[in-house]
Amino acid sequence: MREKILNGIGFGLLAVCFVVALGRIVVMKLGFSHEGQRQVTVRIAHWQLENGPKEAFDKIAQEYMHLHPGVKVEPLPIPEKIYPNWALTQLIGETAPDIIQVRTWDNTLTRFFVPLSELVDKPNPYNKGTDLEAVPLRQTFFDGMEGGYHPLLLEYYWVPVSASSVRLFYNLDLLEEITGSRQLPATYEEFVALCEEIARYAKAERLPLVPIAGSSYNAPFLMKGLFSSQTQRLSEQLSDLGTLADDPIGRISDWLEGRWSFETEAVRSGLTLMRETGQYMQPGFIQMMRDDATLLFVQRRAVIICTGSWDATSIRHQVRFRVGVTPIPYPSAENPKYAKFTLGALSEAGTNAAVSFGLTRKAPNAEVARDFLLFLASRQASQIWTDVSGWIPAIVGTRPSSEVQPFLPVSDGYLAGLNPSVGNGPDTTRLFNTSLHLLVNPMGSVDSFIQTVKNRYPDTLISDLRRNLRANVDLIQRGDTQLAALGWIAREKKEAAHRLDIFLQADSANQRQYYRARLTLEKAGQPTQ
Amino acid sequence: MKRNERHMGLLRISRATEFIAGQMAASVIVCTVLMIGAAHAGESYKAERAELDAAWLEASSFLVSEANRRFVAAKGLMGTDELERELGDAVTLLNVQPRTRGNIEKARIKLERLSGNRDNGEIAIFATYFLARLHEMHAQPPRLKDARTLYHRLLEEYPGNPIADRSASSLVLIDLYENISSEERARRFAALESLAPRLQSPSGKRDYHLNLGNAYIQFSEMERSRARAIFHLLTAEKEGITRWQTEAATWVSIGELARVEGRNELAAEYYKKFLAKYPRDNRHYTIKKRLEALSSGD
Repeated sequence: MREKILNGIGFGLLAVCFVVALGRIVVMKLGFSHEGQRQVTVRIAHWQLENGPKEAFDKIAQEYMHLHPGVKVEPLPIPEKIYPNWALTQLIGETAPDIIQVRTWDNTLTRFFVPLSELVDKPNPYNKGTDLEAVPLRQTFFDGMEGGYHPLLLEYYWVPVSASSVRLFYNLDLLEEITGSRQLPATYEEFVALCEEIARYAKAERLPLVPIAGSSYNAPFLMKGLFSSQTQRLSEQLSDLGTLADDPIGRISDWLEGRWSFETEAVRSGLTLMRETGQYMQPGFIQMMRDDATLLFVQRRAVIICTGSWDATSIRHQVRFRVGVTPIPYPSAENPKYAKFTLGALSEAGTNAAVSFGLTRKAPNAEVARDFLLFLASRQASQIWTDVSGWIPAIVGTRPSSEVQPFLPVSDGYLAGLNPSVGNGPDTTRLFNTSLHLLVNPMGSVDSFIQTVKNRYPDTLISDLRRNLRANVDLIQRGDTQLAALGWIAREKKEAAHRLDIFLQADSANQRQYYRARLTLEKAGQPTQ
Repeated sequence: MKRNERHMGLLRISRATEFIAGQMAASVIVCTVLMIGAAHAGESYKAERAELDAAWLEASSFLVSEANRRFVAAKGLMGTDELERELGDAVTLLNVQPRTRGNIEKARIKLERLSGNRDNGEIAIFATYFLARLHEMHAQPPRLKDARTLYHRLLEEYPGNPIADRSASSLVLIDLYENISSEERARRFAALESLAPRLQSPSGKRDYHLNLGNAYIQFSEMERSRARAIFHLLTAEKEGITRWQTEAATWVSIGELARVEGRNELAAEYYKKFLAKYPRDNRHYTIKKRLEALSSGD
């Protein structure tokens, strides 16, 4: 009898749950709010689960709903690890939210996203009453909305809301405890002196403390930047008076022609600098993950961590100590060992706006979603964004808080020098990453690293160059249909003629890269297919 | 008798009137039918035209498979529309997913057919150009010799056409970026330089000069390569560079080449232009320092 009653209660509860769920679905389908008003729901998916951005999206949504009582904006935070697959499944299944965060530059985007180009030359109505009232939307972004522009599709597809930079974070309380001062190092020499002092202190006090929290995620930010400072002059010497822009094909070609190698003094100096910095990180850091390094820092077992502005709010939320932030310190002009190879700090002038959102083609409420995107791009929303998230704003004239100020891109700086592991392709990067322990382990050395890497480097360069060639061919091939269509339409339509003209120049640039890669492979006696 | 004759006369008049009225009515009916038919034909033409336009629009937005389906479905149009449809079908076949050799071959056959008849006008020019592109970029392995022949044919047969003029920039790349001796390359540079007077369209001239200018930078062993590079890049700029990435790169190159050539005024002019227009470029500070050094005479 008792069992029957329990079963009855169980089934009853199940039935109640079912009815409630069904009711919710019906209410959602019919679009009614709790007050019984007809309501439009706009869903916006993103992967920014760090402390700050999630709250910022919620606050922006609330502000918009306050302005438009008939609209419900529903932010959907999705974990980053599953985000790409989740988003693709939703897009293909035509069940994607109205607005989703994007980071791919794939040409297939047209299938899923609506171009926003028609909006960019008109003022943003949500900037009314500000100095941006009459300014075209595009020019209200600090990067001219380059972060929302697809260079191949020649259309604006995304509305970016932020930007990022890499910085050194310091535990100021620990720093003061150790050095008696909260003065942060401005040059590499001061940085090394500080690391030495921290190491001495930890040893003397027998503390489980290291100067820098390292991991396979964090360490490269610091090491690659420092390495590139050592090859700035070398890159200038190698430059064929081209565009001064980063040139992976030129770099590979120069290596194959023997114009630089791992024995080149500047390259050795860069590796030495990397090794030097690695010595101040915890043993075995190269096997550690991002969270391990963060944990070390927040638990006061490291004084410094190198990471992006995107981690700032999360770190501040987790710690009770004061946090100081500086750019990566580069060797000064007086450095007896490293100055001769460097020009100076690296430029961040080219930083583009990021954290971008696109309007999906099958958006159930496209018009309202488009309007919300305009609100997201407004000065008001940008101010909320930076105040709540602690991240860099994308809209000009937004006042960043004192906590955001240190992350603003530094414009005065030189170009990064060549880096043998960056920009060539995945094979070269893999070779470096899997050999890095030989460079940074206490038992390792610059020589043992070079000995291991230099014999395998040519093969990885060639395979990456071939990959580069294939990617370029693919790009040009894909472009041919668009080129023909634009060419045909442009005979009668002026607006298409402008797009065609831009496309032709992009195609020429891609073709030049293709033929340069092809020639480099030919010269190396390698097949070009 | 007279009465009979009058009666007959009236009868004849009446019959004639009837006949004329009948004829007129028939004419009106025929005209109406024709007009309705024409209107239908007009509407049907408009619908077919709209389909073609929609297909081109989709193709211009990378919706290639969708565009191809439209072009295929519209098969059987009249006159030049059918040729246009076939051209659309061919160029979309190049990128219909999955891309197959079979599709490329089908595209080749269609493009060859369309390019073979000069009476096809602009369609023949497009077909020839994309046939050359097919040989150059889509064929496995590339048939550069065939592509080169077609590009030369376009330049000779259709002087001044923007699509045909574009052939010159492709010839620069095909001919120069080969693993050949310096002497042979110098000979090819000279041959390619002689193409310049044939080009008439601004975009054709611009891209040809851009490619030649950049080739002189790439093959710096050529005699007077820096001076030639400056000349070609300046000429390209005069024709109108509208893509900002290309403009920024070209201005930096002109500045850098001019600085090394000792043409300080020209270098300063281009450095200043770059600094004014591209403050958010990573090269900004480097160029600023270059300009300061030029001004101080370092």
